[in-house]
Amino acid sequence: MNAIVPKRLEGAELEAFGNEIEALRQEVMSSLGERDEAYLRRILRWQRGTEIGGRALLFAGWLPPAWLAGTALLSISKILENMEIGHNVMHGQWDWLQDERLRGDVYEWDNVCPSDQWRHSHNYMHHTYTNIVGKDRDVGYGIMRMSEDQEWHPVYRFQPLYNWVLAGLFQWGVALHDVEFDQVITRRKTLREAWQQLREIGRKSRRQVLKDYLLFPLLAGPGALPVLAGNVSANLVRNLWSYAIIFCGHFPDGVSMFTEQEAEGETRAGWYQRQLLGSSNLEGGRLFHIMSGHLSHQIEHHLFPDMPAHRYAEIGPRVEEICARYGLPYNSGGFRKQFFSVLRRISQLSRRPEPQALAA
Amino acid sequence: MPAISTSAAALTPSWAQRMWRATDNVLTRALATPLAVDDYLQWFNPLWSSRTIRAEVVAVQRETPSVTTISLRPNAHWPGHRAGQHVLLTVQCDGVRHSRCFTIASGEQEPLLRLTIKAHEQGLVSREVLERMRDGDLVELSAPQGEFLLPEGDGPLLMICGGSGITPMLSMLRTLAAAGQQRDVVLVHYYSTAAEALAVEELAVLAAQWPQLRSLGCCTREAGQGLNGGRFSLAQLQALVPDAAARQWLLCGPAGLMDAVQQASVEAGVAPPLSERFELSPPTVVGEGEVHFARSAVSADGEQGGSLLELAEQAGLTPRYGCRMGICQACKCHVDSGLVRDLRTGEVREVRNESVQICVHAPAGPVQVQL
Ligand code: FES
Repeated sequence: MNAIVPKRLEGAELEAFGNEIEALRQEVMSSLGERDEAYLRRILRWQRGTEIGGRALLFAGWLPPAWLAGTALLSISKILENMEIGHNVMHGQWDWLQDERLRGDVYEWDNVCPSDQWRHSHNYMHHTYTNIVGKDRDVGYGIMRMSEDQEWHPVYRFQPLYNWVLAGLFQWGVALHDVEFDQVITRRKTLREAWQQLREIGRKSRRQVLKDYLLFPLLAGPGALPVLAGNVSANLVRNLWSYAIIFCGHFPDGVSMFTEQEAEGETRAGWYQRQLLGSSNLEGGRLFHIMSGHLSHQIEHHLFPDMPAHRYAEIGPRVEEICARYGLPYNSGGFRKQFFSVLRRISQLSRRPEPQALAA
Repeated sequence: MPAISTSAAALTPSWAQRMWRATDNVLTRALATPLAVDDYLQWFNPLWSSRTIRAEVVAVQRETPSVTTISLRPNAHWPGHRAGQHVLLTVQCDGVRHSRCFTIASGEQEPLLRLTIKAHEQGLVSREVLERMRDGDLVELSAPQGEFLLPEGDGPLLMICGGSGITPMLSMLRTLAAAGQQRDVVLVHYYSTAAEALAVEELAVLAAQWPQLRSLGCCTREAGQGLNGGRFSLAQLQALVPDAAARQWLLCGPAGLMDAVQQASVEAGVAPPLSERFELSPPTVVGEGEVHFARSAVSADGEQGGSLLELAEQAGLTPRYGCRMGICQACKCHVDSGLVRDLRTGEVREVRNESVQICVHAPAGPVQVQL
């Protein structure tokens, strides 16, 4: 694992860095307009189109090519909806369009996780306390050890295994995320609150399950089985994909974790620095970025969570240039390399730490 | 003579409307979950909707240098209007949706809906219409609204209007003419220059086949050309329309004209005119630097500094929040209107019917928040 602790700026230098990042944010935000709106409409059209096309083809799912194509289209639709549309809309990236259907505070996505709980666990907890061990619940999601700073527990021995279960059932993991069972056990959260949230999750997931696993198969009559199989597969593909992209955002080598003390009394510039050091980009083509909801530009997303995501690619080089001038790392790598380093981290941290490592 | 009214049509949905509404049912909603049925309908045709009134622009016609008439073909949800009503038009300017009210100019029986829109200096929507609207564009409409309608019966009328305030009158005249009703009407229309006069030819044609219609144009800035010069006054009106006092007055125009005519009606001892203010004033806000939390009916002094969120908390309210630094959007609140300062950038901007992150915005003038 990468043991080099990257440089951290302080004082006037940190503020100067923060000001440059803030100026960049303002420059982009004040230039939003028709071009951005047209981009989103295009994505929406593609998502609707692949959804309709996929569902239609699956009705002919007893033909293997139709099943394959239908499942592929539906997977694409679900990935687009969750990542490039849902996630980004819920960040308020498109609120400025003043379109009721695209308002961040009311959007409901194609996922068993109720949007309101996601807005809390993700927009607030994760984006505010990014990579602060003990505060950012996305560090290990309460079930995995993703940082040396997390205390070891014997269950973590199995994390290289159940990591894959989490990947396959990712939307369910996301759905249960905000319930914070550990907080209920340690009495920091009441059982009643948790129960309320579980009921909400029940309602949302009932709708999702009914639609994908009952209604659409029923509608296909004798072709129910291939439709069911296609829908299960599409959800699985979407789960695996979003899991992989998200894990590559914060856990590859070179990404920093923070203690609560380090983040205490942080200025806005300090927050910017933590977002930068706590995130990592994935390199790829335009299509790859779109399919990852531009979370491949995790650094830019964490610096500017409410900026329309398709702008990240445009300003990436400028962020990198600013970082270079201040001597800050700009973590970036290909998907294969980054994902492999995440898997390595999961397996390394599953082992009980050596005594000398503790001493060091 | 049959009374002209389409209100019955507005109340009972047509079969087409019912058919569209039926596309949004328990089953389709469940299938579309978590999107809406409309999201899919629009993929096939942007005009299709289970409920929303959408319309295609089929003609854009420049009337004067600053006035444009757009002809709209609405989808099946348009219930038809009554002459004199207005509609909320939603258009996109530079990607952003904006809605404004405009009076309908077409007659009740016409297949196309026509809006005659005057571009104002700061009118975002009206300028968009004037400068950029093209055939084939799509807009969204509200249902027709407003109680400024043709008086029932066949009593003589006096219509007084200024500038684009002529639009509801034109709708009424077109409606009467199409129904073959030759009611006794005098139209007094004020405009600043001859180039700004609207529907001059059409009014001349109408008057030629409608003996009891008199159309009088009054140019307020230029004299001559057979036009009646000068601004409105009771004396001028009495000279132009000797039997004014025997007529029912209808009034629509800029605030100055409206006030003057209302005053004159008192002096002349006639019933107050039926009227429509076509310049909608923005929602009222309380005095300078004051923040008004509308839902809880509490005010706070904005001068004491701090974000809207802090001000609300000091006033004893408990708004939702998360990060308190402009990241999570949890604190977004609807602002009816007002001036706010972005605490991150210092930028001051005017907000009208918008959601604002109250943790990073402070009042820069009077602000009304839905809290
Ligand atoms: S409280 Fe998080 S954006 Fe205002």
